[in-house]
Amino acid sequence: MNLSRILFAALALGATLAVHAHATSTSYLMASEAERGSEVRVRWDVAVADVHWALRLDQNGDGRITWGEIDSRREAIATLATDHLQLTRGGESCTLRLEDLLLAPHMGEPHVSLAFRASCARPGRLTILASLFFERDPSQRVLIDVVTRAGQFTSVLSPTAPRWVEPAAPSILATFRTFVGQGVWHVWIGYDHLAFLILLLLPSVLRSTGTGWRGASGFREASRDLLTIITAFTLAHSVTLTLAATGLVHVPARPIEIAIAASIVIAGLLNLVPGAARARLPLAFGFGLVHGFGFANALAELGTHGARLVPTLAGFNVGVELAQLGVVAVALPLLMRVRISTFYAARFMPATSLVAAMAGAAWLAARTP
Amino acid sequence: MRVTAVVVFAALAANAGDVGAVERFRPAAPDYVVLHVPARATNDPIAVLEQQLQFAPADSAIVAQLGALYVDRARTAREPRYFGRAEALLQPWVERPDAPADLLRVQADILQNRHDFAGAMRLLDRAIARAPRDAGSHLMRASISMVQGRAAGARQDCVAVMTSGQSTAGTVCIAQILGSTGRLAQGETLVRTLLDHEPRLAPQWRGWALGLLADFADRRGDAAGAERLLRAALAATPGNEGVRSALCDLLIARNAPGEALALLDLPSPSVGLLERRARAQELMHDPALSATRARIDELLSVAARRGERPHLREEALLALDIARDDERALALAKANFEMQRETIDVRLLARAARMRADRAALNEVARWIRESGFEDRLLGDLRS
Repeated sequence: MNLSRILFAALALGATLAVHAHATSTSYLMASEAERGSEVRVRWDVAVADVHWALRLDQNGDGRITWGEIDSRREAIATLATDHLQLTRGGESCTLRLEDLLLAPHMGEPHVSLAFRASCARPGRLTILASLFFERDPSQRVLIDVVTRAGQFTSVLSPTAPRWVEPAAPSILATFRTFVGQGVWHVWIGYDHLAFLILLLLPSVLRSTGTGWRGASGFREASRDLLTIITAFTLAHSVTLTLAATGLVHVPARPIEIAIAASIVIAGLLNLVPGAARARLPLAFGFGLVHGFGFANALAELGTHGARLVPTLAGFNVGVELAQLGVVAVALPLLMRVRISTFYAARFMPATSLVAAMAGAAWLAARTP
Repeated sequence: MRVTAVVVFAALAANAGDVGAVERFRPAAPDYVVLHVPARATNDPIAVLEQQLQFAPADSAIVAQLGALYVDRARTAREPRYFGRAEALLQPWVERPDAPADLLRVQADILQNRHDFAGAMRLLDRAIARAPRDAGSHLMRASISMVQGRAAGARQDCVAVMTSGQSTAGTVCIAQILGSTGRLAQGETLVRTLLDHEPRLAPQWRGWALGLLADFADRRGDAAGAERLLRAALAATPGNEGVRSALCDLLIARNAPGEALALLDLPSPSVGLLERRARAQELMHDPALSATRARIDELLSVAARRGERPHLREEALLALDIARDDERALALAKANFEMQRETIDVRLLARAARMRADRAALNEVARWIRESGFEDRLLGDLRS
C-alpha cells in the first residue's frame, strides 16, 4: 500500500473537510393511488450512474452513455428495478408493469425515470419496499412521495429501514379537528369572504330612512338584523358546500371566483343606497350559495383525498362558522358603539363600502379571462 | 379559492425534493449523450483489484487496498458513489474484532468525510491499538482533533507521525498545532523552513503547507500575503476545495467578486462552492444569483430529506450574507461551532453573534480563544 496515498487521504481532511460534490446516491420514488379501483401509479427516478454500475450501460466502452444504449436495455433496467421494488396493498402483492422509460434530471444529474402501473387487487393499507442498490452502497437512500386515499406522505427508505407502511387512517375526531382548523384558516386568509362578510355587517346596525340612515334604536333591534343576515348567508353556503363536497353538484372554480368578486362589488354598491336595504337579505342568501361553492373548491384543494367525508365536511363547515362568529363578535360591539354617529352613517360606512366595491371590481377584472 | 391555491402551491414548491416537480423528457436522437463515464480501461487498478478479490475474497489486505482506491477515486473524480462502494466492501470486515488497521483507517476516512467524527475517532483508536506506528491513522486522528478545535490533543499524534519516519507530514502537523495554540509565529517559521529545505516536495504536501501558511498569514492580518499563498497552494493542488473556497472568501472580502466567480466555474459544484458563487453574484448584482440559490436549495433539501446536515457552515454563511436572516445564521453558526472550529468557523460565529448582540455566544468564542490560545487579528478584541 502506498503510504503517501494514505497520508494524502488524511490530508484532504487537514486542509478541508471534503464535502460531497452532489448528494450521494439518491433515488426518487413517487406513488399515487387512484381514487377508486386497483391501480397505483409509480414513478421511480434512478441515477443513470447507479444503473450503469449494475448493468454496464456503456456497451461500447467509449466513455459515453447514449440514449440509444439506455433505451435498448429498457427491459433489463425495468427488471433491475422491479427485482428491488415490492408494493403490497391490504397485505397482498401488487403486480408491476412498465409503462414508460424517460429521462429526468435531479440536481444536475441524469436519472432514468421509470413509470410503472401497479395492479393491487385488494383494498387496504399500502406498503412500499424499495431496496435498489442498498446492498452495494449503504449510503443509498430512496426519497418517497406517496399519495393514497388517506392523504399525502413523504419518507425516506434506507438499507436499515427499506419499507414504508401507510399510517393507519386518522380517527373521525382527529379528522374533524383538523378540518375545523382548516375552515377557520380559510376564512382568515380568504380576503374575499371576509370582505363580503364585512360589507354585510357594516349597514346592519343602521336603518334606512328612505334617503339616508339612522342608527338602530336598541341592542335588540340592531343585533336582530345582523343575526338574520348572517344566518341567511350561513345557511346558504352550508347547503352549497355540502352539495358540492358530496359530489352531487359540480360547478367549475373559475365562474365561482368571478361571481364571488361580483358579489363584493354589488354588496359594496348597495350599501351606498339606503333605499336598497331590503335587498340585503336576499343578497346575503343568494351570494351565500355562491360562496358555498367557493368553500367547496377550497376544501377540494386541501387534498381531502380519501379522508372520511362526514367529519371533513362537518369540520370544515364548523371552522368556517367559528371564524365568522369571531368576526361578528369583534365587529358587533364596535358597530353598536358607532351606530348613532352621523360620521359613521354618512361617511365611514359608505366610504368603506366604496373602497371594498372597488377592490371587488379589481378582483373581478383579474379573474375574468 | 385563489388565496388557498397560492398557499397550497407555495407549500408544494417549498418541498423541492418532490419528484413530481421534475420534468421528464425523451431525447429525440439515440446518439444523445446522457452521461460521460470513465472509458473502459484494461489497466485500471480498481478493475485489477476487483478481479483479484474475486479469486481471494477472504484476503483483508486486498479489501483494504481496494477500499482505499475507491475512496481515492471518490475524491479525485468527485464521485461520492465510490464512498458508498467502499463502505459496502469494508463494513462486514470492520465489525470483526481482528480487522486490520489499514482497513479500519479507510473506513474512518469514509465516516469523517460525512462528518461522523465520533465514529471515525473510534475506528482510528482501534486502528492505532492494533498498529501503534501507523502514520496514516495518527495523522487522520490529529486532523480531526484540530478541525474540532482540540489542537492540544493532537500533539501526541503529530509526534507519532514524525517518529514513524514521515518527517514532512509530522512537521506540518506540529506547525499546525503551534499555530492554533498561541505560537503562530513559531508555526509559520517551521513551515517556511520546511518549504525552503525541500523545494521538490510532492504537490499534495506543498499544497497543504502553503494552505496552512495562508491561514497563518490571514490570521496575522496579512490578507495580501494570504491571497498569494492560496494561489500558490491552488496551483499545487487544484482539486483541493478548501483552498479554493478560502481563496474565494478572500477575494470576496476584498471586493473582487469577478475574480472569485472565475475560480468557481466547475462542473457539479458542491454546496460550499455554490455558496461562494452566490455571495460573489450578490455583490455583482448578477441575475444568475437566483439560479444559484435554487440549486443550493435543491441540494440542501435533498440532504435534509436524507436526514443529513453536512453543510451547517455554508447554511450559516448563506443565512448571514444572502438571506440576511441573522437569527437563523446565529443558530446555524452555533451548531456548526460544535462540530468544527477552523478559522472560518470561529469568525463566522463571532460575526453572527455580533449581529445579534448575543453576549453569551461571544463569551463562548472568547473563552475558547483564551483557553486554546488561538490567534486571530480579526478577533483580537475577544481575547481580553
